[in-house]
Amino acid sequence: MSTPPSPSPRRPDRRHRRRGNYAILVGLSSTGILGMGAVAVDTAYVHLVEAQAQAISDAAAHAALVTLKLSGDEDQARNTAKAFVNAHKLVGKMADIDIDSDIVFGSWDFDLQQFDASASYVNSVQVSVNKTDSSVNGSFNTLLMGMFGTSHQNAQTQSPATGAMRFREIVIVQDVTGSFAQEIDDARDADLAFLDAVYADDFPGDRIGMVTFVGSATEYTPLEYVNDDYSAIRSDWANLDWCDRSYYPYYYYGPPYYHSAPQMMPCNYQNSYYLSYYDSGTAQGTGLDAAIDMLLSSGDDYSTKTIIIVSDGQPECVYRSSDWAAEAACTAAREQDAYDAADWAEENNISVFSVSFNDTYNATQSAVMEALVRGNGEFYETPDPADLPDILEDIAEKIPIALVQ
Amino acid sequence: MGPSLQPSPRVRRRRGSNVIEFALLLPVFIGILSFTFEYSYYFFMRTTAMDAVRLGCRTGAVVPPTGARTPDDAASDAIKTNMSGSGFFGIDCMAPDDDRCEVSVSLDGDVPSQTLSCSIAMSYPSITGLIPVPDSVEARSVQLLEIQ
Repeated sequence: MSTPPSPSPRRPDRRHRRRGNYAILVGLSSTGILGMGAVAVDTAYVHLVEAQAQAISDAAAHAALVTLKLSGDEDQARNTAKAFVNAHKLVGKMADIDIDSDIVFGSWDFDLQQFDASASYVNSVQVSVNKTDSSVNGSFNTLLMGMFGTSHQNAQTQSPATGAMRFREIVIVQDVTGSFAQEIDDARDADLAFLDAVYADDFPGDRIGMVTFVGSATEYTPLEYVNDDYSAIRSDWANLDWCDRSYYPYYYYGPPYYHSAPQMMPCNYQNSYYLSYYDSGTAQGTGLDAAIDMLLSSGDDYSTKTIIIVSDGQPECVYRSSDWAAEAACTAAREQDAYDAADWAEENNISVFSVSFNDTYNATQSAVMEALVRGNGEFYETPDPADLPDILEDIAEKIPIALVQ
Repeated sequence: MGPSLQPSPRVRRRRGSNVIEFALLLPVFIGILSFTFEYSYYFFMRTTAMDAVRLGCRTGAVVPPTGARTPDDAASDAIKTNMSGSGFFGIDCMAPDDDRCEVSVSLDGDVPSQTLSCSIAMSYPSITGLIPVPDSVEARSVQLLEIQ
């Protein structure tokens, strides 16, 4: 009879050795799983804090930029930025910034997408909302990483929020038909008031030009830098007049039919030989087309492009003939040309403001001029030419700025 | 007579200890995983809501107050549109009858300091129901109107 070998006391049963293995494995793996969970949760939390900080700095940069645009005062812009930061909460507490070191003014290069704090001009502001040991907000505690020895995290925005004003390229499309003869002084004052308002903003990249039109259009002044060429532009615009009618047979008629303004386009501009005695009518579409050409060939793809059309009439042809059907068809075509030109402007992100001087209320004129508004533009109408300067100054304030970051 | 194929009662008791260990540790594992899922997703949704409100409020801040579409309407629509792609528990901020999503936009202050205050509050139903989490996701942004 054989007896089964007794287990050696030095070599316990394998089942004995397995006892507690689960506890050890679970103990070890729990640490890893808990660590990964902590990383997942705290990473999401840190991203949330960064998103909050980024949102606050965006709002503050935008507010500072709007204030800078309206007031031109950097100190006021700094205070506005701080107020907007304080209006938000960061990790449950009122957010804050150092008004001197966290707000920086400079220039933004749209081509290079770079901020330059040392540039000679200001079109941009950077705001940084930080949550670090050295910042006014201090650091913040993570939720779980403290178990692994990290009790706080330095979170700050991924990059400072940069608000930048796109430079503006503006073309005034000015009606200089004979019907504007009585109000051209007010129209000129309005154009000059607009120029002054843009100049007062003191943005070095702003450019402005003017197109004049009758039945066709021509460039009156090209797109020029307002800051650099203000005096020259103002001098040219001060000579704005209604169209030139110093040709046969008006020599014999005298004023008001005869009008010598050699700096202006002739009233019969591009008329056929047979119609050379007559004014060429009113064609807003040709003015818009010329302005769009000017803006699209400016070479600056990042600017805010805007057209302001000022007119006192509806599109019309003046045949002075008995062929009324042809005249009506020509007028309808000019109206459609105006709508097509406005659509072309919109396709190219060009806003159109429309100003209708309508002293003896003409419903068709009003409807056509209102229908030309595109993008951020608005429609203005007045029977009083003295209102024109205020209207154009108002438009100067409304041409928008844009945030980049 | 050969040895019995049945394990001894002692061995059976030892096998049971594994089950007990597992049963004791399973809630811990589930708790850790639930906590990870719940709070990671909760913070993710707060970040998503924060971005939606920031971008929506920014959209409204550039709209002229005198236009046919007011800044607050534009901001409200933009925030709802931004949130509609989040797939957030089937909550549809675009649906007017879905009261689980509340977008609030108001114009405050006077010219030239008129501000647009935007906020969103959405109910946050727990994914697992095992871990206490906040029952709502909220975000807020304040922007200065560009055109006043």
